[in-house]
Amino acid sequence: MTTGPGGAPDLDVRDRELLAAHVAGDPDAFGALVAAHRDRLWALALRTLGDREEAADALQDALLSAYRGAAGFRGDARVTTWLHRVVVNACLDRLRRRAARPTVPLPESGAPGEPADRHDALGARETAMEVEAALALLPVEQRVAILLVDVQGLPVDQAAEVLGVPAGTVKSRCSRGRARLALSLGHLRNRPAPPAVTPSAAASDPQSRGGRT
Amino acid sequence: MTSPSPHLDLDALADALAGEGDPAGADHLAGCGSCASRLDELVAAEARVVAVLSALPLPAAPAGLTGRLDAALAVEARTHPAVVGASVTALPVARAPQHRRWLPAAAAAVLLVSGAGLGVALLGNGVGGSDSDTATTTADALADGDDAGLDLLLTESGADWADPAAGTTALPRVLSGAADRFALQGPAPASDAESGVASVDELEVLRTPEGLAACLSAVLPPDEPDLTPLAVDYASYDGRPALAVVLPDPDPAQVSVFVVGAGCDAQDDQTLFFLRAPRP
Repeated sequence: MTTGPGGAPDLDVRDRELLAAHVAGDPDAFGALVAAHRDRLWALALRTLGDREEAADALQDALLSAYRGAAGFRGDARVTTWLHRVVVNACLDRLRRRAARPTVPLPESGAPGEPADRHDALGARETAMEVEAALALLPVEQRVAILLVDVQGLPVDQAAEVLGVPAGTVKSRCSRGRARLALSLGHLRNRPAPPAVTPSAAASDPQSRGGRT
Repeated sequence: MTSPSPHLDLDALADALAGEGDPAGADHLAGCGSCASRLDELVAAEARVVAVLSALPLPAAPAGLTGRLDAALAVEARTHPAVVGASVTALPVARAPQHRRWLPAAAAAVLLVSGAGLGVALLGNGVGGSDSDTATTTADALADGDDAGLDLLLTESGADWADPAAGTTALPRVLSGAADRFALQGPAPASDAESGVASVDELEVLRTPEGLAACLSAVLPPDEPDLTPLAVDYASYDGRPALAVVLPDPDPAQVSVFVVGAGCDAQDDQTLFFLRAPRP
């Protein structure tokens, strides 16, 4: 992702000015704010929901909510964090409403979990499609955490603000989600945890003395 | 000797990698070469995953998304000038007009200062057909059966206004009158509207003077109820029947097009899409 992870300070100043202008009655300010963030918020909604129409609906709901709630923006967060939160909430609302309906992966794609050598042979476009499909299969809390941190580029503390959870929870969700993605994408061998080690076996396992902290 | 702790599963390894593992897991890792080896693999694999994720391209926004969002915000500004919510104070947008422009987006809010009253008046005149002191607006004239005297261009272009090219292809045909012309019909049977049974022609109500009057009363800016649409095109949006109301734009070089759904009425204009396009 390219543009300012978490929003560069100067961009946040601009965003705050636009939001203040909107609240003060400037009829063009909110549109300008939307235009500055629309593409990234669209990406977030689309990848969270996995359905273009639903993503468009969610983004519209979110922006209307932000429009109405602009005066309530307290200024203790970045505007981009606030916008991300509004969009994530709109998406999660929709996911809750259609809990029984499975997420539809975005692109047509092969089954996740291609072997690594095959994966390496794929072009960038195919890789992106494969990753999108694997993302869509993650548990939603892991998917959203990864989208915020690894795709949207928000720092962990901002992602935690967006989600309303401790930073440690975001780290855990991201790491677990990455591990699943690594399996799906063939970057990690899918070997089960070894069986419980017997005392005698442990004593004979030279690696067991290697330790790791 | 006590039994060793079980090996860590993938989630526990991932938590350990994130620095969020529990102490028991850490103790196990410290003494288990197998799990330490798996953690090393996970470290390398997650690094590759992060690299791939950070390089994902932005997905292309669908055509019309911008117009759709603009329309939604314009409608919001027009219909909810002062929204008060749990943690939301009234937006001063409607109280402090700075521009006369009423579109796109939030600019429409400035018209709402007296919009509600005008809307009700239009509805009363338009739909009820009674208590009409004056019949100077498009909606009034339509409701009074005076559509023949109105310079209102009604077309059936067959266009789908979700098509990004509609502004350059359909619009000239509509405004030049080259598109098929259309004449309003008599009142729709009440049974369709009230029974909820889907009509074959979803635009049936809007093809009547009363239905169109009600819809226009919601679409037209409240402080310009006498604004006459340049054209009204019975067409579609994203495959669904829709009405495109072409209005003069504050910029004389452009026109504003509201695409509204078949359910457009005085209470809800059901705007699906908003487009500003060069005036042909």
